[in-house]
Amino acid sequence: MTGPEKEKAQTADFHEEALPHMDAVFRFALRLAGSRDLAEDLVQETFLRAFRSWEKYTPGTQCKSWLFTICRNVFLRQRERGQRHDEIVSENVDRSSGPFEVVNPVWVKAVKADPEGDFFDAIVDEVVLQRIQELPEDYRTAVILSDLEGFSYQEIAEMTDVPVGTVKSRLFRGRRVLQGALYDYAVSMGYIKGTPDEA
Amino acid sequence: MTVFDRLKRLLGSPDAPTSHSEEDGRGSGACKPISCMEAMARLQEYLDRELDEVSHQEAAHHFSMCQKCFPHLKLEERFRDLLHHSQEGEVCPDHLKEQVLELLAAEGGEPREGKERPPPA
Repeated sequence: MTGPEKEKAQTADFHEEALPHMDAVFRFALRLAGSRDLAEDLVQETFLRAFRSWEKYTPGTQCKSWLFTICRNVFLRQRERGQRHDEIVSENVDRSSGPFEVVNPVWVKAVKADPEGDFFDAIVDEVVLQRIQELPEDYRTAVILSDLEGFSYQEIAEMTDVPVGTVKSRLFRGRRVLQGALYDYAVSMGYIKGTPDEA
Repeated sequence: MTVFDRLKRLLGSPDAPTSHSEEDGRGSGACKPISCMEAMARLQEYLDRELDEVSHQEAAHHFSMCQKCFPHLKLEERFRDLLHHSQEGEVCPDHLKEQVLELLAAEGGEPREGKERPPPA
């Protein structure tokens, strides 16, 4: 195969394998970045970089994971360049660092007032998106990849280049922080009755 | 039939007693009984389908039998449903798909002839 023929074949492969994941990459970027403008920039940059490095991709492997990895790397680099010091401090403050409690204290409170969890029905998507956005980045990424995209621990570990144990820790803690935030929101909106000490 | 009963039937514990009296899930010969604390410790991996088959069955049996732990399982499921459904219907805007194709064409990718539509997801 000549050079131009090879390039044409590679381009065709890219269109066939990578472009069908544009919706998924957009969703991932939106949850990661928290705004449509930023998400659109991320998607453009992701597909541009993916196209430029298409030769490194092994055909038939997990193209979606590969694109997500590129998307996250672009996001992290952009954030690193643009992040103000106070934002970095804020993220560190919000991070829960204590021992992981086996029994979820949020569910202990929720079970008393609404064991079926019907208060979740009242929470709109925008609030969920906003609360996800407020998570520290590594927690946020783990939650998005697992709970929104359905990747396994092993896949997330490979995509984020950390051990499986770290993925589990980030995921479990991220969920707890998010559950607490959504529960507090539901209490503040009157969707669920808070316990006396938090009223 | 309560949600608790439905889940118990769904999880299929053929030898599970029909009463709700065995709050710690003990009493079944189908798989090793586990404590509430152990079940709670496995909850995340159970729902993530990341446990081995035996551990999964042990947890499933416990949750199907334990009225104390079952609500925690239920709330965790509702939480995950909320997250999953929060992105339903979210698709890449057409103008963005067009922009990506333009960028790729400019990079030397397949020249676009006319208004080729982006591929469906």
